[in-house]
Amino acid sequence: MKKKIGIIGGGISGTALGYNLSLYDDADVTIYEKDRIGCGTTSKSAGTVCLFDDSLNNRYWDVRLYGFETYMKMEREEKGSAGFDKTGTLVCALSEKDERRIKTGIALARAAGYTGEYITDKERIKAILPMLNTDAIIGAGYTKDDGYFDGTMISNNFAAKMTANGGKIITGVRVTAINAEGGTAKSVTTDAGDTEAYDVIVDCTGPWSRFTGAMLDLDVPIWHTKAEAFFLAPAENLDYIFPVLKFPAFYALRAGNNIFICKSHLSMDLDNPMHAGQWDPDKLPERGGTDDYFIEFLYEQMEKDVPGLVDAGLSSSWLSYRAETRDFLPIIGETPIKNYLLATGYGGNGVIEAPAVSRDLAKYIMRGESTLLIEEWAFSRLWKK
Amino acid sequence: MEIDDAKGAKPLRLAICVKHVPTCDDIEVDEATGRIRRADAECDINPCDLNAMEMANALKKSVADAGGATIMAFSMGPDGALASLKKCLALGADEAYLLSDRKFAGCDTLGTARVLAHFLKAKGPFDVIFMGEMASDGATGQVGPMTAALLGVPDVISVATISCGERAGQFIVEQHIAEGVRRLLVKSPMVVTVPFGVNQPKLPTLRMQMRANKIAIPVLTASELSADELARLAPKSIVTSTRAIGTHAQAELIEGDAKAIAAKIRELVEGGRQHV
Repeated sequence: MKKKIGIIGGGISGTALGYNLSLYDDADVTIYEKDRIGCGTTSKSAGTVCLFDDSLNNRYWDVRLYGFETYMKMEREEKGSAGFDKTGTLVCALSEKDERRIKTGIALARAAGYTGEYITDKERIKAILPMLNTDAIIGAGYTKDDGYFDGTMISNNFAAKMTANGGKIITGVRVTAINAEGGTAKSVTTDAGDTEAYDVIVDCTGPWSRFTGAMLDLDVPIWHTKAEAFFLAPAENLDYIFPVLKFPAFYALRAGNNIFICKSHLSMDLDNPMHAGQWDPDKLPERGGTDDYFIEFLYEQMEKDVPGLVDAGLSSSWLSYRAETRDFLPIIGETPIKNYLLATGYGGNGVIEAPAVSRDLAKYIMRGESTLLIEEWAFSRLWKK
Repeated sequence: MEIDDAKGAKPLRLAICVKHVPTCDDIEVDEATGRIRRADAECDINPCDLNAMEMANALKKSVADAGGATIMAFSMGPDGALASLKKCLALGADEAYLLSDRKFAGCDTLGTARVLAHFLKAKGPFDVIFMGEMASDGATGQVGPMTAALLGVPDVISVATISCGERAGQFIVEQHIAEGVRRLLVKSPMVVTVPFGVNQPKLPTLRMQMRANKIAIPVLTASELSADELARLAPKSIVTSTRAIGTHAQAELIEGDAKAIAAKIRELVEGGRQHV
């Protein structure tokens, strides 16, 4: 008898989990996506999976590596299928603490067979990215081996692999109720009027998780932080490879002839109403919606660190919500409601973390075997706080 | 309106009127009322107003060494229209005014022109008043000519370029006509309406956007209009219904692996060539 698993949400979290579950021959997996695969928060992700930066603590560096190598395998299977752009990454250190973290990341990347070096010669740093002002930088980590991916393409790739393995995807249908009996989740009901029973139901709805959890009176401790992204059209032609550029407060990457730039998720303050709150992601506009304060932030940062972008044209912008927990780590696994699990709260790291989390969570669901990741990122750590 | 007669000595005074409209892919018609749903729609500055702004900026730039110019932007609408005015400021306007009042809400095109004309007079005189030729939502093309008529100034439609003439207060205006381009010598003040696509609007820069964010946009209300002017705002035409036109274009989803998709695209392209 197969174990029936219903996954709510068809972004990077839901599709990666669906694919990993579909690798078990005794799993019967269904994903419910209210719109299209990978079209929500995932579609607004920058998709950077850098070998070393501050987006995820070096404690979890293997998570980063596993994500990177998963997508590189996709690229080897079919070139372009993960949307990889091998631009390399330049990670700037403004303090000795940054420097130590970057150097550790470089050592770990090199241990895994990738290149990486820490550069203190400012002329060399400027040679990599000429529009940079290096005055505030004490050094920079650089690798040519990584870059950024496309979260939507990856989600669709996972979804295709999952269906090839017998999984089922239902799009354009919204889950309207999660039905529980005696503290155990039993089934989901959709706006198509169908109710389907499951052995396990997993919330992979990211910024929607509060609403999803509310269907079971479960308070999912997720805050929305604003991911305000701008596309800048540089005044000068970029006749060089623009690497993913990481500063502690923001990151940038080349997107066609534009530069995509966004505030880093770890720089967000959950207690600052300009940064964070609890909102309705369904009310996000397709474009625009950014705040004036972000223009000021961006202007100050660019004037100081990347003056070549101060007179770049603002070609477009968007706002999306990251799903963040108080400790900026995801919530994975069991909840107080039996058979109702979470794979949410990835914040700005869904593309980085989803492969390793999904691998571990699929094993936990199918075999009951926990892992260090499942234990450290368990919901229970947040109850204690 | 008075005419500035000392070009070169006094800066040109330019005005631009813009409309905050639902973005093209977000226009929906309320089937019950037959009206465009504006409240929930994502809105932005009317596309050809950006062409008008670009033209105003080009004229301003052309006189930078000859007295210079200032650009004042106006928009009539609810608070959301502040975003379009802010965009004008980020593109180079020096001042911006929102004309907003519940009493303006039911205005037809003539009422809108009356409100614009009132505040253009109040903040004028202007040498040239720029407007987009028509709004992407209403598409009447009436407000520009009506405003010109109410101000008692010439109106030049379908303007492609404008530059200063040899004499003060004269402008050389190139106008699109069916047979080509007509060149006119027009004495200011005037209203010019600018069609979509006559120039390539520049993007606001981060620096200019930052400047725009620091400029206050005053809100001008109906309290500045006389009772007689307010009485004239009553609409003479009412939109009874708006109907969405279904597209006749047929879209085909091309599926398969990369080779199959490439082969299909080639087939379609070659098939298209045969039809040329």
